[in-house]
Order: sequence, then structure tokens, then C-alpha cells
Amino acid sequence: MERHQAAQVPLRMAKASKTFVEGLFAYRGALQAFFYRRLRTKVDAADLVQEVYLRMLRVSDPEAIRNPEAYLFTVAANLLKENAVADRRQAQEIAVEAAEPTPALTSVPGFEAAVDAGQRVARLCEVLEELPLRCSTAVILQYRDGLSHQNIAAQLEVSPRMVKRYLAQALSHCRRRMARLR
Amino acid sequence: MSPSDEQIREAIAEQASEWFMENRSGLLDHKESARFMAWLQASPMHVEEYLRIAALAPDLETAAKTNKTPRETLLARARGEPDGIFSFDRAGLGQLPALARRRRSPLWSPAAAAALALVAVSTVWSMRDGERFGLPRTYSTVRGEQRIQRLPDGSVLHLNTDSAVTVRYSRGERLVSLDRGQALFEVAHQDKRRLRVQTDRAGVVAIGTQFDVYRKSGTTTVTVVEGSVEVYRGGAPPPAGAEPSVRLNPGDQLDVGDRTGALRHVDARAVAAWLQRQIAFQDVPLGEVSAEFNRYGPVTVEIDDESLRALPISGIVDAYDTDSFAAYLATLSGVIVQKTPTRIRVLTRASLEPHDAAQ
Repeated sequence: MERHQAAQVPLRMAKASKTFVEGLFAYRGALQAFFYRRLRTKVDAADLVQEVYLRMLRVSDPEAIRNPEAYLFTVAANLLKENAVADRRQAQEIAVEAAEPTPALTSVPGFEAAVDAGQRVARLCEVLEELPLRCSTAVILQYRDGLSHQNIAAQLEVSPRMVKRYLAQALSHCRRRMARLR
Repeated sequence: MSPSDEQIREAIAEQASEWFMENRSGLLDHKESARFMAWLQASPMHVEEYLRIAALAPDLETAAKTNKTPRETLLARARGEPDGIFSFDRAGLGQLPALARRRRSPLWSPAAAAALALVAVSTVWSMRDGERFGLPRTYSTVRGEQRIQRLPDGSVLHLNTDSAVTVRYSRGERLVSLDRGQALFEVAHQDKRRLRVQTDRAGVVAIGTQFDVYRKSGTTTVTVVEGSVEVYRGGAPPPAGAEPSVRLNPGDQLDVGDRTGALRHVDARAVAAWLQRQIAFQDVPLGEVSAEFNRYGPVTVEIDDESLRALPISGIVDAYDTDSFAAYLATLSGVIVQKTPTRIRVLTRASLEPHDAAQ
């Protein structure tokens, strides 16, 4: 479909350095907090996604974006920041009890979020148990033991591509099970 | 019966997970980046699922770290398990980066063979029926459904929405009749019998290749993704000395109806885009694009105005995301979109004016 002829987005990721990409991953914590917090008010999350999507559509030359993931997180992180500002402004106008804490962008999640995180992780431990053994083993070897895909592949006697497949399968299964939770 | 929202969302979550893993295993090359970008731009749901998967991953990491089972114990148990992948019946859906991968390695490399093990779940049954008893078997999909079927000889059949095939194996031939709709074949070449796909209008003979056959009313369109095929016109193989068959190479496309059309070169990946539940089109009249949409979703797009139907457009869109399509149409100047739960009517402002004037 013809791309929307909106202003050229100034960000170009063609020469995204590794540290820059890594830096963006720091936003993921905020993104995570945002999503979990907003699950109760679905509309907000949907609005954010819609806005991220619209801004992705405005890229007049998608080929120029060499690292779409980094770009996506940049857009999302900037929106979260704008959103945090808007929230803060709004919070001054409504009752203190009703004011939702602003999604912390730079600080660690607050106590409430931490409790939620504990529950989520406990639940995920159960979900991990439901996975085929090769899937769960791949997940544990990657995250707990820090092994590379090649190494895991050798240990499991499958191809590295298969390992990637196991890991993707594990993620989407967890996503599905956690989605039903809410 | 169309797939539920939940099924579609799960399919998208699988795609998002695969892309996420691709991104984790290093920066994508230029082509893959472009594909990933196109995927993100195809639907807001893609963006949402990707963000959600990204948000979930750190929790999974934390959960994995709480596991106390020694590595050796985990490995011993895992190696003892026959197959590590879930049933792939919803198939085709989790396959997103597959085409990109294939371009890097030949289709039947050991790695690709491993990927095909994904669809091995249903193999046990089809092997029994097809191979041992030689009975014809029919595979079909309803509107909005897609499936991957591994055939007894190891070939893989991708069946698009509202399609049906009947598979018959004999000593000399693997015959697949495409009864309706569209199918993409990945032919196993270990089997030396020729594989023939037959529609009412055309036959396609293949040896170790990948190609798409789309049976429309009156015309059959054949497109080759990899390898080559021979196409003949008619409902049965021609006798010797009759009209010669046409050879198609990768990227070649041929329409066969009352007569055989001219060979043209197309982007075969765009033809195979339906594997990813996407519709790809380049300078295709809007009327045809909406007809494509109507093959998938529960909502019917209707465009009455002829000049609007003839308007050429380009892009790759999610086959199920009729809403985005409608939203896009609404951005065209002079176009009005009317929506009901089952229909989307697209009108030109001009076509409404005489009506307004009459009031």
C-alpha cells in the first residue's frame, strides 16, 4: 500500500552502533511496566500501539531503516516519554487517589510493579514446565547458563535454527498463557 | 468458519516471537530488515504483539534463572524426548522468516529438512493412509483457514484459504488434483516418481521444486518459486505430439485458460506472500485487491465505482486486516467508506452527489 506521505522521520538507523541498540533495550523495562500496568485499562495500551504503528507508517522509505527493531523501540520509548509527561500534567487535575503512577522511564519499577513481577515470574515458571522438554531446556540453557545457540544446538543434537525455533515457540507459548491470565 | 480473533492473535504472536529471536541472534541483513519492517507496517497488531513479546522476554529470563535442575539432567531428559515442537496444525502461521532463510540455503539442505520436521506431527497418519494403502486423500480448508500438510512422500503442501486437493499416489506418479483454490508445493525430490498437479484447465509436472498453483474459475495460474516445472493445457496429460508443454523457471508465471497465456516474470515472493497471511500487490487495480481480501476475512469489501475499481495500488497488507485496508481507502481523496459488521462499501463522493442533489 502506498505509504502515507507524511513528514520524513529524521531518525536513521543505518549506522546504529551496538551500544546504541543495547541502550534501547534499557527502555524495555519501562515498556514492560507500561504494558502490565495498562492491562487494566486496555484502551491506553491500544492507544500507544496505534500511535507507534502510525509513526512506523510515516516512514517514507522503509528500506532506509536498517534496524527496524531499534527504530521501533525508539518510537515506543519516545511515545512513553510523551505519555509520561501528559500523565503528569493530567494527574494534577484529578483526585490524588485516582491518579495512576506515571510509568517510570529511568527508574526501576515501584513496589507494586515489583510484586506483580514476582507473581508473573512464578506463573512463568509453571508455564515453562508445560513446554516440550527441548523447548524449556533451550530457554534455561540460554538464559540461566548463558549458552549460545550454537552451543545449545550441539548439546541438544539439533541445528542452531531448530534452537531458535524452540526459543520462539517458548516465547509465543508463554505469551499465550500469560494473556489468558489477565 | 473463519479463524477466531484469538487464533489470529496467536498466529501473530508466533510470528512476533520468531522475529524477536531473529533480532536477538544478531543484526538482520538488509533484506531481512526490509522484510521485518514490512511485517511491522502490515498491521498494528503486529506492532503490538512484537512489543508484548519484547516486554515478556525479561520475565522469561528471570523465570529461567530460578530453575535449579542441573544442566546434565535437563539435557538427558530433553534428548530422550522424541519431538520438541508442538502440533503445527494451525500451520503456516509461524513460518514467517522461512522464505528469507530459504534464500540463504538450498531448500533441501539438512537445516531445511530439520525445519520440515515441524510439520512431521501429522505425518504418521498420512504415511499410513497414503503410502501403505494407496488410498486417495483429500485435504481442504474453509474460508479464512490455511494449513500445511506433509504428504506421504515428504513433499509439503501449503493450502490457502477456501481450497481443496485430492492426493493419489501410484507406482509411477504422485498426482495431486487441485479441486479448488490455491496451493503451494514444496516437492520432495528423494521420491523419483514425478509429481503432477492437475486442475480443470492445466497440468503441472514438477521434479524437486517449489511452485504455486491457483485455480480460479476459467483460469489456472502457475508460478514457480524455485526449480522448474512443465505446464500443459487441459484436464489431462496431452498425448505425444500434441501442443507442447511450457517450461517455467523461478519467477515465471503463466495463466492457462481456453488458451495458454504469455509467460511473464513476477516477484515469486509476492505470490507466496499468502503463506504469511499477507496479500502483496504492485500496481494492481483496487477491484482485484478487494477481491483478494474477500477470499479471507468475514467482511466483504464492495466497490461499485468503475474508475475506483481500476485505480492501481501497491503494497503488502495483512489478509485479515480488512479494517486497515478500509482505513487506507478512506485516505484516498474523494472516497467515502461505509462500514457495517459484514460489509465495507467504498463509494466515490462524486457518485453520491447526484443523489444528494435529488434530495
